[in-house]
Amino acid sequence: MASSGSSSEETQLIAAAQSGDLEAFNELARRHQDRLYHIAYRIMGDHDSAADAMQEALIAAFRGIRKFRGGSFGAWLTRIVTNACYDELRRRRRRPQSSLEALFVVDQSPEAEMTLPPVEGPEFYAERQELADLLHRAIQSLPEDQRVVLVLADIEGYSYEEIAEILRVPIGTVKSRLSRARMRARDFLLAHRELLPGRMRL
Amino acid sequence: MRFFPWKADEHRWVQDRLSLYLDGRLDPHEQARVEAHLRACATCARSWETLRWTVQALRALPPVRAPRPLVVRPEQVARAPQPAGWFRRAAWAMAAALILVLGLDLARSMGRAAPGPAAPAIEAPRSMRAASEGQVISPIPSPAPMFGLAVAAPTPTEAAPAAVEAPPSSAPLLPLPLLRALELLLLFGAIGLLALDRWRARRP
Repeated sequence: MASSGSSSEETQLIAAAQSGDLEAFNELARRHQDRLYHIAYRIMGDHDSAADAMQEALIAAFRGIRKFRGGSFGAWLTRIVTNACYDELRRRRRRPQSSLEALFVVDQSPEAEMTLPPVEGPEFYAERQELADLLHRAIQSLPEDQRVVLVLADIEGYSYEEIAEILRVPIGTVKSRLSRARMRARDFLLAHRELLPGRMRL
Repeated sequence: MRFFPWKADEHRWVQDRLSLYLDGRLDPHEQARVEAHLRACATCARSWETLRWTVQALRALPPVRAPRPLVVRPEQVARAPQPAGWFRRAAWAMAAALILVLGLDLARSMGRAAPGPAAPAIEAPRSMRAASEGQVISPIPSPAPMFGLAVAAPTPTEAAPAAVEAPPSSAPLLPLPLLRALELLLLFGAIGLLALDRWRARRP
C-alpha cells in the first residue's frame, strides 16, 4: 500500500541520501510525512508526542539510511516510526501522567441493544469530528501492541503480511492482535454509546 | 444456539474469527461455518455488525496532518558520526601505540642479542625480580647469559653481586611482564574499540 508512485526518482533520492545528502533525505521525508505523521499521531495520541517521535524517527532514519537495501522505502520508514513510537511511549511510561483514559473503563458487553447507524451520507460527514474524537479515544484505550497493529491495518491500510514485516512479528501475532484490538475498540464505542453523535448511536 | 448446548463454544470459535472474516482471510470452509452461525445466532450477528461498523468508521477517519514540516536539520545529525569516529580513532591510536611498544620490545631483545651498553647497570636491580618472572612466561628465547654479561660489563665490581643474587634484568625501561601486559592491553583494546565502532555503525 505504501509503495511510492515515482519510484525511480525516489531511488535517486535514496542514493543521494545514502551518500550523506541531507536535502535529498528531507525531500524523501516530505513525501512520506503526512502518512507517517498520521501513524505517529494515532499511536501516540497527541501532537506533541507524535512530533517528538517523528523527529526521533527521522534522525534515526537518516543515520541508518545506508542500511536500507531496497524493498519498500515507505515500509522501512514506517518501521522506524513505529519503533520511535515504542521508544517514546516507554519514555513517557517512566514519567507517567495521570491518565484521563483510566476514567473510561470498558464495562459493557457487546450484547447491548443497538441500532446501526449509516456510515455514509451527509449526516455522517456533519458529525464526523465528534465521531473522530471518540474513535481516537477508543484507539488510545488499547494496549500498545494492539494499538500499533490496529493503526497500521485500519488507519494505514497495510496488509497482514506488510505489518508482520514492519513489526518483525509472526503473521499469527498480527492476526490475533488485530482481532483483539478491533473487538476492544468496538467495546469502547459501545461503552460510550451516549457520546456518539445522535444519528450514530450503536 | 441455545437449543444446541453441545455447540456452545461455537460462539467463541466464530467471535475469534470475525476479524479475519472481515478481511476475507478465512478459507472457504471456515467462512461458510462463520456465515452459517451468523445466520443462526442473533447475538453473534449483532457482534459482527458492530465490529464491522467500528472498522468502517476507523477506516474513514480523516487524515491528520503534521502541524509543521518535519525535517532533519544539519545540526541534529552533525554529531552523529562523531562518536562512531571517536571509537575508530581511539582504536587506531591504540594500534599505533601497540606498534611502538612492539618496536621497543624488538629493539630491546636485539639489544640483548648484541651485548654492550644497551642496558644501563643502574636500572638492573630495580627490575630484576619482575624480569626473571617475565622470562618464565616469555616465548622469547632466554637471553639470560648474554644479559648477565651486559649487566656485569660496565662496572664489574659493583654490579656483579647483583647479577649473582638474581637472574639478570632485561628491562631498561619497563619490566618484561608489564610490557607484555601493555602489549596485550593495547591489542585487545584496539580490537574491542573497532568492534564497538562496528556495533555502533550497525545500529539504526
